[in-house]
Amino acid sequence: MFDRASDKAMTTQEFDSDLLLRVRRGDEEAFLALYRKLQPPIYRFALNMTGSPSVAEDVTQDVFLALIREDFGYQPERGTLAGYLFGVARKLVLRHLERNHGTSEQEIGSMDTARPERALGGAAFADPVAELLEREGIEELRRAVLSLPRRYREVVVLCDLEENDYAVAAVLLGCPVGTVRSRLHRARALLLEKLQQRREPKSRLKALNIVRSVI
Amino acid sequence: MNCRQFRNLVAELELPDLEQAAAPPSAVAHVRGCAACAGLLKQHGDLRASLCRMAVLQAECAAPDRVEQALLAELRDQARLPQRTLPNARRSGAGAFGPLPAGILSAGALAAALAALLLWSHPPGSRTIPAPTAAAVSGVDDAATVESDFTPLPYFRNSGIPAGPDADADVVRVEVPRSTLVAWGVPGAEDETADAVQAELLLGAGGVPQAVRVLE
Repeated sequence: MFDRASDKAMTTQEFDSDLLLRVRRGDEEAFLALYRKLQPPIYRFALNMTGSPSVAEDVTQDVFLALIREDFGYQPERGTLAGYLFGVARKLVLRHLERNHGTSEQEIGSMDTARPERALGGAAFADPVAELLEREGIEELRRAVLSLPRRYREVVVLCDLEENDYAVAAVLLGCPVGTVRSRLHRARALLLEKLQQRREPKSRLKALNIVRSVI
Repeated sequence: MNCRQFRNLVAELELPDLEQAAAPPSAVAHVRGCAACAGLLKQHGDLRASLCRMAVLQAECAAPDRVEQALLAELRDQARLPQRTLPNARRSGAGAFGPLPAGILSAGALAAALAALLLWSHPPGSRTIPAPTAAAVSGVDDAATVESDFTPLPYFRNSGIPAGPDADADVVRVEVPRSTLVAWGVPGAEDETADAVQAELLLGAGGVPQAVRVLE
């Protein structure tokens, strides 16, 4: 999640700027503090946008390589460091998506195995069947999110998955709040359509299997 | 409220149970009498609950440790070999020195470009030579305190950019146009007769030129 409270933003920004200054001087502790604080939302954004852990890894690495390098063009007076890094990550993600014309089914399929264990390992299930159903449902939802057009996927990832409010998402995407609101509205409607489309063939197949077993 | 108006509103409603949400009374009244819209509301509620669950499940998701290790290694390399970053500094000098006047910026960019050009054209062994005196590079807190016969470069002198780690300062030998030295305000540059003058650039953290001195 990116900085959302405007009253805290200044303090956070000053703190991040101070860390950045120390990173410039080669301070590893400062770098680790910045990296560990800012990389998870960047990694998750790239992962949810591309569906590929390896691309998300590359994007995260490239974003922080840019921070280390001398030509890092962040200007504190123009916004937060987190927002700037997100902008860099977004550009890299969009470049990847343009190059690959969206996300391929192969990439989506590879998520199951390549995804870090801790991504889904946090939840404790008493009932294995419930766990399986939950995981299946979430995986289906993840695929539906990945199949959304890019501009709708972005708002779902930022507002629904990263839990940023509309104003923060608008700043990060560089568009009006109303645009975020309308895109999210459309995105959720599309998601429902896609989920229904995916479920219908399955239920038909189940019904067919039941009929076959009866015969 | 009709079904169409309700569909436009449904994504904004917080809960499937409208009684608990701050929903317009007309929407509550409509959904009570319309099974289709009640179903749609439930679908949106379920979708949002699933998205929340997905967010919770991936809350701990982060880049693998190897990314952190690779970045730390890069950071150490940068600190050890500041001259490697000089071509990048040249490429986007405007980003690093945004607030500076254009004229000064171009002089700075020229310095960086010259240094970069020479660094790449010289064999690795001759790229850097030890700093001439400890006084020249020790205790450098800002550009104004660069001591000895080095002249702080204008953009560095005026920008307040903090100097890099003292121990990492490097000196590179370059050939600078006389007119550039004059623009930088290097004492005695006006008296030079040659078009290009041998000089040494003091490079700070990340290979950014901080000061220059003319070689006799």
